[in-house]
Amino acid sequence: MKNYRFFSLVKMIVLFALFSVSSLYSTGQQRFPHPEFETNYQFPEISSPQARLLLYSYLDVVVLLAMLVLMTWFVLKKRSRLAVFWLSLVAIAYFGFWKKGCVCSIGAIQNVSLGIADPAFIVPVTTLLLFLLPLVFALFFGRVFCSGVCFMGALQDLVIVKPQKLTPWLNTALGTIPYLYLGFTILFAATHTDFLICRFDPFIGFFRFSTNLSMYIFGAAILISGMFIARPYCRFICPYGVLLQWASWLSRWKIRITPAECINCHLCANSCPVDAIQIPNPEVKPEKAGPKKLLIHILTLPLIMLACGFLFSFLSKPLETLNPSVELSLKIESRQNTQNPEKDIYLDAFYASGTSKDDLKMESIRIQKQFDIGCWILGLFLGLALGIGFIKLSRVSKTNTYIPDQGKCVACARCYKYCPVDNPTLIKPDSKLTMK
Amino acid sequence: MKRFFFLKYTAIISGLFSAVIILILTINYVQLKKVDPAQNMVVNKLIEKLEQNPSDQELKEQIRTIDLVSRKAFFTNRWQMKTGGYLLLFTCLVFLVSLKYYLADKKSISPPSSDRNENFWESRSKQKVWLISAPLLSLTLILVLIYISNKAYLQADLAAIPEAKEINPTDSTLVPTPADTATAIPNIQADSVIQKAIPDQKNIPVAEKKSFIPPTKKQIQKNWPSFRGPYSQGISYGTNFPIEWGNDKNLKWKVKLELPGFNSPIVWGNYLFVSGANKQSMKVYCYHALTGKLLWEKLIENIPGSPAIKPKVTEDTGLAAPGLASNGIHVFAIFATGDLVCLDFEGNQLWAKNLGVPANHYGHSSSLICWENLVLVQYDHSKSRTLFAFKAENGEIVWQANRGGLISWSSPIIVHDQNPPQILLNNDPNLAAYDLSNGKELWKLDCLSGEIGASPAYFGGIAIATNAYSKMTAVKLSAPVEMVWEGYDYLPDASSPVAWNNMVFTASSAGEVACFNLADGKELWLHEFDYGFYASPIVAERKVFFLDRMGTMHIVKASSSFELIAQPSINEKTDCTPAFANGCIYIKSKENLFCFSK
Repeated sequence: MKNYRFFSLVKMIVLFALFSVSSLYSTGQQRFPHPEFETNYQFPEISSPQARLLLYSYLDVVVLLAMLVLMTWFVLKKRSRLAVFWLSLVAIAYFGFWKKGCVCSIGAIQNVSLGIADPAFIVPVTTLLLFLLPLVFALFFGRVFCSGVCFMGALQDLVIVKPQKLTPWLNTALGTIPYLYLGFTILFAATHTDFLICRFDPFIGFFRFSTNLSMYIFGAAILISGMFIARPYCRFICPYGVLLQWASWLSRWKIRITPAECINCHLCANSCPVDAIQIPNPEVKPEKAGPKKLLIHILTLPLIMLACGFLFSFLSKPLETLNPSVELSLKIESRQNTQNPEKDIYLDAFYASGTSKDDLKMESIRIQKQFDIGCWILGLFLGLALGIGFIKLSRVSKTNTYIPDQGKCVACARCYKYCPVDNPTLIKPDSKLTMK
Repeated sequence: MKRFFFLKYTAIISGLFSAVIILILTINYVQLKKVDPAQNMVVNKLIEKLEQNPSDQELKEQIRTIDLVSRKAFFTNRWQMKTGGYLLLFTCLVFLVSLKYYLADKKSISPPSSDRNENFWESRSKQKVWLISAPLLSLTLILVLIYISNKAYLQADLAAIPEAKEINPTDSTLVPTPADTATAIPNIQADSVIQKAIPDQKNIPVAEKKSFIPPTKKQIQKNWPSFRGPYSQGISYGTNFPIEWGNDKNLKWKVKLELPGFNSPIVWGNYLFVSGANKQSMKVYCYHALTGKLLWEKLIENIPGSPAIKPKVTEDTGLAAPGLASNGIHVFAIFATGDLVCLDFEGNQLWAKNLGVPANHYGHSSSLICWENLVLVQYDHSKSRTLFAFKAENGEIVWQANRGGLISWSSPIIVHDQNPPQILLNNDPNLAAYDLSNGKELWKLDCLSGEIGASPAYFGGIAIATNAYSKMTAVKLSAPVEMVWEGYDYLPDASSPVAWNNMVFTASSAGEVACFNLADGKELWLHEFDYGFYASPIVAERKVFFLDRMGTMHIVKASSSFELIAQPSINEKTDCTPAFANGCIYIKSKENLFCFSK
């Protein structure tokens, strides 16, 4: 118990020191011009920061690999929550504060997507490795990356105070967001429209000591809600989590609550902060119309995909207006029919660049075509995810023991301490719980 | 139990206290935005007033006082934010630790719900409903947000935009229309492009604006496209130049210059370009090369990144020392502010950018030069030494070479008859060559020292690099590139050497003019004039034209023995290198621009 208290105290101090101090520093970034008087005062030269050394990029990959190996050992072999906690702090310090959170494995989705869509965009090998390594580890060992190697996950993990269970329907509803986010992220990155993950990164401001107010509010909201709904970003926003989830389902060495055979003591039932423990359900009987429904869902999967593709094709037009080139082109077009249009700095910059309107128009039309195709692909992908979701919900996989859902489990190692096999002292002589 | 209550109330009180601090900090944040000194309306209005009467000391004092008060308020507010932030840190810490301990005390292992299997399929049905509803709701929300933010453009139909035609990179549409540019460049007043009476329009060969094809070697040699002429080598390929002139002899025209500038005139066809600048304004002027009439002048302003206050430069360098350059379609100018501008031959600004204010204790003075569709900028200053190649049509960086060494004031020259064509640059300590196609450094030779003002010279496969108080080095450019000879006498300072027909000519700021054998560096002759030289010697029609600082042109036969041909003078101080084109010699003094022809 002492250890636990000390652990909590360290956690809180570290977390809020980082959070609050970073907020303060952010205000220090505001600048305004020097007074416009000629004086003898020599203004210091404005200098641009040097690019990050390439060596550091390789170091990042080495550190990531080392941390993944260590985390795998802590989670699967050593089964130590305390070790996971300390490694989380290292991840926050290195990937968060030292590396300023960029490029991270989550954001690397965008680089890879753009690299695939645009051959002119070369994805650095280090970025590619940052993207692939966690997936490869997930393929073998489950989501050990999420447990504490990901600095964003680690930060959220530190704030968990009293996690509440969410109702299944709410879990399902919120669980659709990462799929949408992943789809839009790839579409926007591939069309040179935006890097959504970077733009809406709620935590980066805390690590860089600088962001806008709305992102601070967003980040703070996630951390505060994270006190009671564990890891909200990881579970209900993170697009990389979708890929890790797929890889984890196929993992070779799965995370287990108990190191031996489960004795169905029920002690771990409520221990998972992210609702990833599957409760035994031997009594559940299959639905009467279950097989029929399942068959319908399987047969209609292509139709669902096509319907979603068709539906999403209508999103092409509104979405493409978010692309800077298309927006500029439309702006020019709309101004041609406007008398005395207002000044626009973007148009000023465009004209000053010397680029012709025809060039811009051609670029816009090219992007428009990319969106047309991209929206269809996005629709097909979401349709597939939706269809698979229906199929999963139409069948019951019977389990007789408590096992983690490999897709959802973030390998935080919290449930280990609830297992009496690991901790025999948990079973008190007067316990009312029956052991089967 | 006491401990339990203590933790509970500590959490409540610290939580409330944190909320109050957050509220106060939010209000403070809003106020901080309002007291931004840069947005102070009163100060801005007074500054506008001051612009009308810059010498009003009382007004200056008033602005300073208000500005100081505004800044004090801003920093006080900042201090309050910082202090409040620390307080918030402390209260949040207390709140969370107490909350954590309070909840830890209450923690117990709870058994799973006994009715967990009840309504299993009902729950699944509900989940299916939400599996569809949730993404639909999310999408609706996204669409509403997009609609709100981009309402105006959603109504426009991009497909309705006429299909863009196949773009020819040399199409005139690459150039925004004057109307576009006028709306694009903020605050450009209509009179900033002054269309003076254009004389003899029929006789002016309209610049080939419709299509941009890089000029041929013949076209370049026919004109005077940059400082020291074609490829900046100091050699004129024109003929029929006068050797005698005065106020009443061979003077074709003379115009008074408005703004000071040590740049040398350049000529393309019947267009002559110079620039001028003082602390208030920077301009590019275009004169009719045959009549001297001002065709237009362009005020260079509102370039993003351009400093509000002009950098400090020495009097003998000024703000407009770098020479302009032209490719027959565009004319480029750069100023000591780092502002690089591209205009067409009608004075329309096509693009402009600030390259960063150069850290240069005399002032930036390296001239521009064009090659094919590039404009090249030797941007050597204290912080960095860079050679930029910008695309002429739109200013996009095609390549850039980050160079070593120290700051310099010399200008690049182009060696077009080597493979690959290369650009040579001087700076301490190197003479270096870069591939014009990609900016790759081809070779460099450590042969210079000090403050380099002289540009390289080139003739027949041999390049010359020199500088006062250093040495003169001849370098053979054919492989292997190697030093041929070194000399130490009569080294030029501001003026650059010129090499022609196995000879090298130098003119020093002390008035010494010398000729060396290009092959072995042997001194062929030396002559001392009364006044020094800043303008670079030019070779034309087998003669060398040395213009001294008092305005006298010493015309010497380009041969291995000294033979003075003539010494016409304009009787005005001059430091600019003359231009030779259209059978005319253009001389720019500090105040006037002269054109002499037979």
